Amino acid sequence: MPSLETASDAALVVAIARMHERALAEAYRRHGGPVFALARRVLGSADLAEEVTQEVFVDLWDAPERFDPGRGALRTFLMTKAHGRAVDILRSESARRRREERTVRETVTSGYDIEHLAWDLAVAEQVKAAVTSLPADERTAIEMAYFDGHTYREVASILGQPEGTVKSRIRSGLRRLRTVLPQHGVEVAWTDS
Amino acid sequence: MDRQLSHDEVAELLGAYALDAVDPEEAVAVEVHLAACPRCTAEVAQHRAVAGLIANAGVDAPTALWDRIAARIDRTGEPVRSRPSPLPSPSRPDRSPVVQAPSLHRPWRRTATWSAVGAVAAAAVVAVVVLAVQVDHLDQRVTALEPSVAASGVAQQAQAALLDPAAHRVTLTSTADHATQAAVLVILPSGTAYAINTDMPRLASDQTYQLWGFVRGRPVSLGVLGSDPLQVAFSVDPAAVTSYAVTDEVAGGAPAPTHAPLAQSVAST
Repeated sequence: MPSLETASDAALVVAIARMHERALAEAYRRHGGPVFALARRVLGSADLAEEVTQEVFVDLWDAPERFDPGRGALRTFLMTKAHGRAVDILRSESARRRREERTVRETVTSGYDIEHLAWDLAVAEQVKAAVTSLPADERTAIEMAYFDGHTYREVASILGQPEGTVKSRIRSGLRRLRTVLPQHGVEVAWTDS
Repeated sequence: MDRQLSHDEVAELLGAYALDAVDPEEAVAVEVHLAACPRCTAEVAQHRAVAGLIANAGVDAPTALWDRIAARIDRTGEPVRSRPSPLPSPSRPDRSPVVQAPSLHRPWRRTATWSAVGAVAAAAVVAVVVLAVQVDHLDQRVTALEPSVAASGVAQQAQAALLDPAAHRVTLTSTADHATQAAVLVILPSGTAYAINTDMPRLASDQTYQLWGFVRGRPVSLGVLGSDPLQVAFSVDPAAVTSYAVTDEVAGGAPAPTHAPLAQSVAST
């Protein structure tokens, strides 16, 4: 009898749909850390990141059917939800000022590097290497859009580059990463199975 | 955005769209296109998977935050029943079953009346049309998702139904405590449906739960669920049935409800 810890993510979601709280707890244990970290990175606030994380997991509890295991991994699903929600908050008027302050502070302290990001220790280095291998302009565009929640138009304006160029760089950078990550030993999982 | 974007125009936006980095009007235009374009949909899924990878920062999920989440979903106000273990331990001896027995410490009180669901008096004998009854695994206790569930046809079908986007879900709550969810009905457009016990305590073996659907205000038996059901398949005409209720009856079931409902539908999603 497989224990909860070894159940696939898809099986966990089935159990969540059947209102088994321990299954949600296990999903949180697996994915709560990255979800929280992404939200905090985007929002620059642990409090807001907690709100987002809570919302993401309560939504999974309330509407587990929205996760379609055929269309991607649970991790991706949760991260996408968290990012979307974080960006919504960020783009709300009240948060704009906070972001501006944070952007200044971050630029001073760490810029747009992802040096401090580490994942499951086994693959953190490989992911970092893959990201570092990107052309700098692609990497910058992706990081500003994804981690700082800027639209590609805003990124273009900040960098003084044409919008179309930034748009293309984000896409080509993500495509390049998709190719490069497996070369660095990181499998990009589309689904749980 | 008034005009529809071409495939190539949308394709150029897919990276930014996957990162939530497009304007709202562009997002709408992309979504319209995605609905009809599997290729672009797949590309967005791939971009998002990549983004999820590079976003990972090696922090554990905050435990205190789990307590807040548990409190939010635990509408009964009970103490948190579980929390994430700090480390994965696939071989730990404590193999708690995924599917836990319904909690027994919250006995239902029989305070509700049939009028609560707008039905006939409890004692009234009404003509009952049994739409269809299929009782399976009455007292089977499934203690884990696999393999015992996989071996159970009804459980497997119920799981598939739960994940079916076309399925209609109806929540039944305890009539004694409306905050307590007692069971979930998953109804497919075909009329095939599953009753899934989420918190109905075990009855004495000479008793059974019975599911009723209201057709023009009258209770119609939809199935005898057994004394300790996990999930039971039944058939229903979703267009005819306006609400649902569960009673406890003498084993074997009754042609008409003889007790006040223990649980009834509140809302559907």
